Amino acid sequence: MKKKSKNYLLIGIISMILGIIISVQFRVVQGNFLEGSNPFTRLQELNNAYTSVLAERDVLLSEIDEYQTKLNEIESDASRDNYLIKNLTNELEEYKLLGGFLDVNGEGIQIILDNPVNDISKSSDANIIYEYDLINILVNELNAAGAEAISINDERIISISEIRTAGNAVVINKVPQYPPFIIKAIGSKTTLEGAVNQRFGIVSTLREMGYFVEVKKNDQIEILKYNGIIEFNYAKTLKN
Amino acid sequence: MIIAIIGIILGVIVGYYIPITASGVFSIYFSVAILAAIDSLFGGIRANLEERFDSIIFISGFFGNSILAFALAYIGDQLGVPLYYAAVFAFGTRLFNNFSIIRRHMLKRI
Repeated sequence: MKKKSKNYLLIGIISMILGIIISVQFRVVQGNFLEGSNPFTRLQELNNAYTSVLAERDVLLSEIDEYQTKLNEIESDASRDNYLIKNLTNELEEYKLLGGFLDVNGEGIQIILDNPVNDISKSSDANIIYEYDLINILVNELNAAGAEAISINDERIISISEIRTAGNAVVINKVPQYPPFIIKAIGSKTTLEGAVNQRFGIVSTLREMGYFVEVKKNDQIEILKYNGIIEFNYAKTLKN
Repeated sequence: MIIAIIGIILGVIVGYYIPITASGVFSIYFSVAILAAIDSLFGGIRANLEERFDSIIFISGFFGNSILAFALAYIGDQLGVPLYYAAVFAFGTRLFNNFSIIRRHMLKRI
């Protein structure tokens, strides 16, 4: 009988330890870890949030288009009546073109840049996402060769455009982009092609590193406008 | 059985008030360790009912199983293979086995 009560005591103590561990664990999980939900529900929540944000973005983009057409209508209406406004509108169009706020087309080249093709014989963990400096060099080469408009995955490269790796994407105009990167440039197609394809140039460097690069000359290339707003908070015009 | 339930309730109350927190990173390891501990506890109750309870085996099983489960989960994470499935499967199966035997003993007594 004495042994039995000792056994019960032991079981009681051990269950108490178990209870302590359970409650500590409960507190951790309910507290800060994953905001109280288990990984699977959390995944679902994030997925839902992502889809709704995507839908929201599409709605906002279409709204931008709508307002843009409305604005164009108002501008053309006004310029029809007044010679001065007509002149100003023409000037405005010119500056928009310079700034990259108009869709443009013309002859140029298209470069497709992608990760190495999976090949069993040579394993490689090269990832173009981490070589954003090479993309920068490529854009630089195109600019040097007289490109008049450049876009990467339909993100127009303008004066404030950044190209940098963030997480597992390359962020261009603050929008994450994933490979394959389709780089379009409008300009003299032979000059542009020659500039990137020169010996020991950027394309050969990329190919040497194993990346897939394809350069195509094209008579009709369409480059979309920059879809955003530039705000100047710090720079002020100097008057002299 | 009753003493175990009382013990767990007491432990939960004590654990709720003591200021110990584990890192959320170890959450999964702790859950597996808890499963192992529950299994050992059920094993102990069963052995007690069958009158072949050994305190050394019980205590070593309790801590040993927990540590093994914890270690398995941790190593599995480092290797990229979810090894804690093994612990969940083994202890889960045994847990239900032990519980069914305890149930039979209890029902026989009534």
